[in-house]
Amino acid sequence: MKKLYDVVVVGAGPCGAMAARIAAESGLDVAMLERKTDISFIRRCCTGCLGLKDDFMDDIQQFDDKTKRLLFPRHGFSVKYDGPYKNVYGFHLASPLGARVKLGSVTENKKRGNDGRVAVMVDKGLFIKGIVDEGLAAGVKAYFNTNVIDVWNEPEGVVVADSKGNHYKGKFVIAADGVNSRLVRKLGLNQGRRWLGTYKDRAWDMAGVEFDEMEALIFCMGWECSVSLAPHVQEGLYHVAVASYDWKLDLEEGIQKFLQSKAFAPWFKNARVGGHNTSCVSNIYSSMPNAFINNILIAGDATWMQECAILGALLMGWKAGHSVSLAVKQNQINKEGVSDYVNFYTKDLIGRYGMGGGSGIDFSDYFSPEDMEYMAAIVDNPLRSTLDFYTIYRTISKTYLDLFPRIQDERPDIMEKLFNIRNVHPEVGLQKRRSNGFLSVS
Amino acid sequence: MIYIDTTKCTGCCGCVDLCPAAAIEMDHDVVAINQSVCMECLICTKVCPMRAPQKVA
Repeated sequence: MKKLYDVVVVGAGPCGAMAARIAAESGLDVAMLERKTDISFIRRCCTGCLGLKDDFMDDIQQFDDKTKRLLFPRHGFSVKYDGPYKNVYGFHLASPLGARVKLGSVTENKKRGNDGRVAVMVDKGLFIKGIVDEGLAAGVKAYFNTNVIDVWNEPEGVVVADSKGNHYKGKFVIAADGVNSRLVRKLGLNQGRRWLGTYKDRAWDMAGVEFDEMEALIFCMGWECSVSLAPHVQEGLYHVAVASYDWKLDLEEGIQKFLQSKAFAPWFKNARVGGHNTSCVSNIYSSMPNAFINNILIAGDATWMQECAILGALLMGWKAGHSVSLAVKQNQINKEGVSDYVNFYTKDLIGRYGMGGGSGIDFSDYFSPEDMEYMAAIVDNPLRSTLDFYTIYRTISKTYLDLFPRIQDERPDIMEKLFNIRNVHPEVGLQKRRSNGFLSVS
Repeated sequence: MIYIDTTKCTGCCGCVDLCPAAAIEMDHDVVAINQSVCMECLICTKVCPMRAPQKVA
């Protein structure tokens, strides 16, 4: 008879590595399957940014510089990270002509040192490797170079199959195989989720980038391919990323248009590609209504709208690992056994954030670069310092609500466009994205 | 036939994830196509941010 693990974890990203570690530390017999061999080499685009100090998923994460631990004080756990890190002091939105809406002034916040930061950039590869190594020390049986292609239930357990014909059987399975989760597809769980399009990304680590207030995450609005900028954990490097949901657009051309534009070319006049290239494809759905089926727990990005980020992935992995441990200890191999995780997901996450879905409206379809420049320039900077996307959204909405009388007065043409956007059916933007995407069906 | 230009490939596995035939996988950190399974649907050539997969005669 095939060996029966207590739990088989699919994926060794921040979520899977955390779940496997917690389960092994609780004494469970754990298998962890991962398609990469070099876990610390990041191949998919990621800014490696840990947002701090704002309420995210019911915690207020902190990084302690003395103990080198990422703290989740409300949930009561922490993660060791003793690699390099760099402070981030704000989130900025940049108009195509250069004006910035600043949620946090880098200059002001930097004066307060670590107290003024809103996030830390980390080396994500080292970060994950730290958790994986702790898991291995606790007895996780790791299978690297393993491509998982299928999952099914048998009377004695859940079976996960890899592409070489190997089977791994567990009392429980934790599917932490990311935003494009094959397990989720095999289980039919994407049906009923709103499909929001296929995004592809590229990122470059550049040296020699220079401008004011660099130590912020910067989203650049109004480009054919959306552009985001971030400090890089390695000194002297800067992270430049470009994304599009339209497969016909060439991302290399997209970034060149930005780099050569009048407003931004001065930032990059001495820039050259300094680190390694990354890329990424994500099929985006609204979040799952629940994250459990037939003794399979779905965790991390596999469940979530857009991205739950490293922090959300760690939290879900931690919760799933503990929940499975309790179920195994109590020999309750069913949904009731893991009710801690099931309820955490539906109440704390879906209950709070909803399932999302987005309207998919492209600002640049409605506003000219000059319009966006006007709207960015009238904001009284800095706004509240934060890196939590829900807080960012609320802060910006509130700011512009307050500015509407002024916009009406100064630029009634822009006000009319804002009113028109309100009347655009959310499906209009989504339909455009879907028509350029690739719904994955296997 | 689809050929993956490994000098362009970053190994991000976007094609691995989206291939409807599960014909592409990561082997020792290199992305490889199983030609006997590939249906030449060309999705990999469209989703790849690096334009690494290409159709060849």
